[in-house]
Amino acid sequence: MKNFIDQWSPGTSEGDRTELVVNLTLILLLLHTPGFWYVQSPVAVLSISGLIYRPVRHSPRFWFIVTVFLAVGLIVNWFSMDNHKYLEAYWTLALCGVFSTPESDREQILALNGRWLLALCMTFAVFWKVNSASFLSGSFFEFTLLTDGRFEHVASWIGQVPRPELIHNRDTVQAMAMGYVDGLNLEKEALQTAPALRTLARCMTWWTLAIEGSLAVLFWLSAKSRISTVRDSLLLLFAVTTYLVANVQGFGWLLMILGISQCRRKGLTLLYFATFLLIEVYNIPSGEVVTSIWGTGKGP
Amino acid sequence: MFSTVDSLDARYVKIYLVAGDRSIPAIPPPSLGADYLRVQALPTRGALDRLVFKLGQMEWIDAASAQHRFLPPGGVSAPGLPPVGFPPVPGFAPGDDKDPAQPADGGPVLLPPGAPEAAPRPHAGHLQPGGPRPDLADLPGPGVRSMRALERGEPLPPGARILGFQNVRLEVWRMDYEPDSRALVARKMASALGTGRFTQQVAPANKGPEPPR
Repeated sequence: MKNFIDQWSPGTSEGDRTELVVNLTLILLLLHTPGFWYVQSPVAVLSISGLIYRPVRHSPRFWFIVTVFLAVGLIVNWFSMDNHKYLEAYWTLALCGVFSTPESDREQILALNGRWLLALCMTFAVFWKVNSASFLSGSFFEFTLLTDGRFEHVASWIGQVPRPELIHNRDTVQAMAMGYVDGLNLEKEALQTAPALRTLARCMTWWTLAIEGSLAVLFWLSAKSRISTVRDSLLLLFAVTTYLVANVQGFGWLLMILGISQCRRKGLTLLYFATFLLIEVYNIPSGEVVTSIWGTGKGP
Repeated sequence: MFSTVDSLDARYVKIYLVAGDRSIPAIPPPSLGADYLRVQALPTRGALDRLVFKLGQMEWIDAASAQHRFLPPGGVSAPGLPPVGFPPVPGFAPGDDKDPAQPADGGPVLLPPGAPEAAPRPHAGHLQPGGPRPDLADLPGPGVRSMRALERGEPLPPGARILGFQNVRLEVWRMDYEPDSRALVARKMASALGTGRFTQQVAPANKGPEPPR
C-alpha cells in the first residue's frame, strides 16, 4: 500500500505540491470561469498560457492579472455571483502572494493560505446557517428538496416524493414567479411532499451543521499531525457526500485544491486528487441512469 | 450561502403596464436581465426607479398578437368589453410612427380606460404553435394576454402595434416556505411606479401638447 501511495501520490516532494496546486487551479479557471466575455476569454487565454509555460505560472504578476479579471467580473456582477467565485478570486490573490516570496518559503505560505481560506469558508458557512431560522427549522432543506431539480433523485428515492409531484412543485414555483403574465396571481400554493422527506430534511440540516462546524473548528487549529489527519479526512468526507447530492463542481474542485495545498500526508493528498476527479465523475447523470434501469419514481 | 429560502432564485419581478384602472401584465424584456437581477438582489429605491424608467422608455406590443396566437383577422370582442381594434381613446396613444386609426388586422390592442381588471383565473397552460386556438372569451381582457417590449433594432411584427400606456408598475416579490402548511407564500418586497414613454405625447385637456423627447 505504501509503495502504491509513493508511486501514485501527486505533488509529494518539495516543490511538487505547489506545482500540483497551481496546475489544478489553472484547470479550474479554464473550465469554471464566469461566463462573461470580459472575464472568460482573458482568463482562458491566461490559464492555457500558464499551463504551457512554467515561468508564466510562477510569476506573481500573472496571478495578479488573473485576480484583476476575476475581480472585475465580481464587481460588475456582484448581485448574481456565486459565493465560491469570490473564494476563487481570494485564492488567485493568495497565489500571487505565494510567488512573491522566496522559493524556499512557498510551500509553507501556500499551506497557511489554504488552511485559513478553508477555515474562513467553513466559519462563514456555519455562521449564516446558525443565523437562519429557516435553516435551523429544517424548512430550507425541505424547500430545496421539494423544488430544486438537482435534488430530485434524493427527494424521490429517500424522501419518497414521486417524481411527477416534484415536477409539479417546480411548475408551481415557476407559476408563482411568471404566472402573472397569464393572469395567474398565485400568493399561496401548497407543495406536494411526504413525511419521509421532512425527516430527510432534518437529517441533512443537522449533518451539514455538524460537519461544517467541525471543519471550521479543526481548520483554525494549528497543524498538529493528528488534527491534520482528522480534518483532511473530514473535508474529504464532506466533499464526497455533499457533491454527490448537489454537484457544484467548481466549488468542490476549489475545496479539494485548498485541501491539497495544506495537506502533509501522501495518502491523503492522493485521496484529495482522487476526490477532485470523483467530483467530475459525479457529473454523469447517474440518477437518471438508475431511474431508467429501475423504471420508477419512488426508487428501487 | 446555501442557508436560507430567501435567495435570488426565490425572488422575482412583476411588471404591469397601467392604463386607467387597468393593469396589464408585461413580460420582462430579456435585454434588461441584469437590471432584474440587481433589483431582486437589492431592491433599493434607486435601483427600482432606474429599472422602471428603462421599462417606461421601451416600446410595448401585445405579445399574443405579435405571435398570431389569439386574435383572428378583423379583431375580436369579449363579453362586456369593447372590441379590439377600435381607434385610440384619449389618454392612450399608440406610438407616433403608427397610424392610430389603422383598422384591426389581427393584432392592434388598445387599453381602454376604466376597463375592469382581469380576475385571476385557472392556469390556461402553454399554447403550442399550430395547436388548438384558445377560447378568446377566456382570455384576461379583450384579447390581451400580456405585453412584451420590442428589443432594440427589432422590427415591429406584422399585425402588432405599439401601445400607449400611462404608467409602468414594477413589483419585487419573494417566495417563502411555510413548513406548517407546507405551502409557498408570496410576499411583496417593494414596488415602483414609472411614467410611460408615450403618455408625454398626449395632450392633456388643460395644457398644450408637450414636445416629443
